[in-house]
Amino acid sequence: MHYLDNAATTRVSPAAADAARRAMMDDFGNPSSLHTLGRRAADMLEGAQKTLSGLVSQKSRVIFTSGGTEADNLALRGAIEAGARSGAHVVTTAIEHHAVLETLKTIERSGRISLTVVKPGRDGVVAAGDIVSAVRDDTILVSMMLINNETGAIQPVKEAFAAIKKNRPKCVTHTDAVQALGKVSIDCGADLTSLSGHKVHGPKGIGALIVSEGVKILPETTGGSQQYGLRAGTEAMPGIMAFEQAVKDITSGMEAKNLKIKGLSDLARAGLLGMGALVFSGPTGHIMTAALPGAPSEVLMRMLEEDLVYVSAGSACSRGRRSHVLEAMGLEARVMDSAIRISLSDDTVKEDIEAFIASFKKAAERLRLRP
Amino acid sequence: MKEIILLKCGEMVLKGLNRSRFEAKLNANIKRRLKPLGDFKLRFAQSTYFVEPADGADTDSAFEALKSVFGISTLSRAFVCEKEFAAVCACIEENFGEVLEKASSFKVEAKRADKKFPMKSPEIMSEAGAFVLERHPRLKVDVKRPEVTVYVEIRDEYAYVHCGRIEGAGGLPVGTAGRATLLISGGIDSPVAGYMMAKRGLELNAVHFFSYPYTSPQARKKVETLAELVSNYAGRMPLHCVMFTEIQEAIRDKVEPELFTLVMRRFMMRIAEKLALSSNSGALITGESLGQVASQTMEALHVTGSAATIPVFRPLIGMDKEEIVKIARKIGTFETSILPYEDCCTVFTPKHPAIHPRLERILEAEQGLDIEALEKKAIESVETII
Repeated sequence: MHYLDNAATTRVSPAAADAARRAMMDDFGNPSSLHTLGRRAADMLEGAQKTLSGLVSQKSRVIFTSGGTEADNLALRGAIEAGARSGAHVVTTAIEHHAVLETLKTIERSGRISLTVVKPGRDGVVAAGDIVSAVRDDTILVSMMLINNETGAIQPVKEAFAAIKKNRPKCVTHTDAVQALGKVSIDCGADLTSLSGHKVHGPKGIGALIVSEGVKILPETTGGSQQYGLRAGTEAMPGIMAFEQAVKDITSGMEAKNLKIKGLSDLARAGLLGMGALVFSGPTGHIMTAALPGAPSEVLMRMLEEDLVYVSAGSACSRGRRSHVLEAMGLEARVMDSAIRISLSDDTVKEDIEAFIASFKKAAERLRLRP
Repeated sequence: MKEIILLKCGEMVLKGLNRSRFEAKLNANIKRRLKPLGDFKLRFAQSTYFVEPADGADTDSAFEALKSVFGISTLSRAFVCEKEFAAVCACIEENFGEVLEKASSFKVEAKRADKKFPMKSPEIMSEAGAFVLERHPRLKVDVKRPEVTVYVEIRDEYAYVHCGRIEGAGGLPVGTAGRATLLISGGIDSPVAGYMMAKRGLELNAVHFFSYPYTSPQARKKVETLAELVSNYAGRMPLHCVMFTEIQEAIRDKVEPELFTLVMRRFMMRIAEKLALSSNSGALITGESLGQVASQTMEALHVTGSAATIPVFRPLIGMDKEEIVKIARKIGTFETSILPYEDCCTVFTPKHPAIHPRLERILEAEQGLDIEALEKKAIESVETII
């Protein structure tokens, strides 16, 4: 099969699976236990925290969660609650993942905050200037993703956050770096950084929030005092160890691997453009949205599936299910309704891209859409 | 004291010479419906069915199941007792004492099928009424609009006491009117059409046209679920799934967009008719209603209907959407019908469909298609789910 839906999820690597298994069957202690078995687990946990905190240059703590969504929730709600006395205004972008947008909209509906949502340009990039100018005297939190999960577009997070910190050092900055990990450096000066395990060949059900030193958030999940009292519950060691292994693997030799991926991505891009499709992809090439107007996303996806090529359908055939990201970019309906997303990983080989292009060509012909 | 289910038959009792055939069908249908629920003895006497559960039989489920059997006009759960007045009173008190205690008014209705019983019906009613009043002094008798009515039926072997009848599914027993083929889609209308015709005694089989990869597997699954829901009323209904993709693509290639839907529906009618004839079905059933969508204007219905040579039943033809939705909710298909999986891909849906088509024009358009070959292939692709 030709799996080109890595932005949705990735296959767990053998090394990560082994790490999980060891934590399940061998070193299975509870890090909070005082005996040797527990101490061993606590050491392993510390090691994992170190590995992840090494992804950013500032001193930070790492909190492991049940995934990227929980990390986002902890970051947003935690920061908003902690900043309650300083203000109630939050700035975010229109292209954030639902975990960020829905959460902020829910909090807005409760009357707890007022929300400003900044739109991107047609290229899917939110201008740093637009974010900075949306920040007010009462802004307590800014959330801006690093790489968009539909277009792959890299957002100017470092630039925007640096400017914001200059004027309002108390304003908390959060970046959802779920799709950025392993593709680019996630060291962009954010106070809070969300990560997810299953996007980098780790298992589903594990994520992390990197919290810079001095940044205050209140916990969401309460109970025991684990993880600095910020996320109660016995630490999910199997997932954590697998995640740590995955992070180590994906960040080693990152540049060379990504060069290879870029090459494959360019191959795909060329093939798509040759067929008259519109293509949106970020500089790294991992994620690409392609649209062949006239070909409904789901139908195209199913035609590709017949050739064992797996991609994401940008829009669902069912009524009212359009991508909020493409909509925010101001794309026309016929483009949005025909968008599919392919996303590559280190597992992707040339044959996958060739199969994709061949199948796409076949589908375009079948739909009578060849130029 | 034994609890049994009493079923009264409706229209069927008027059927004169055909009556035994109808009874036999209803008998068989009831037996089939109750089979998975345990052992039940069925007796038919004086226009009433007596359904007696054996030990361990699931009477509650049986009662529920019988609510959707066509041919039954009312159902009630009754208690059996000896044909002695004292026994009848004891039965009333034991089973309905609580209900009567909580009520403010009641009356007793008695029927005496056994004319040899010593008390006449009015006497039974007043004596039993007095018995109840004695035990429930706060109760009042109200013969016009009582809160609770206790029914006493004295029959040949036993007496039966029950507290009311509920409405059954009505209609005629499935199978007494023959067999027909339902064109079923994932929409609200066609399952309701199927229900309505089964209600008139038609045994059904269904045809569904899907066009993978233009339509999704979820859309097909949705139709399978709807077919199952309809069969709760219609009994066993084989579902024939026809691969319609090639025909859709041929139409798209050879016919002008305005006529897509009409030509498509004519193909569906012809294929459905072929399947109908091979299963001894004498008519087609559709969920068409006048004026709902462009393909359902009078002219459009003429165009699509002419493709069939056997009768086409359109039970919804004169109904409003709201009325149809009401039935869909009643039979439990509405929630599934509104799941958002499209039956027909936008690729094959014309932006400006012909609203007042002329048959000649469509016949001309069909000239460019190898109808026989396409239909043959489609029929060969049929997958039947029972």
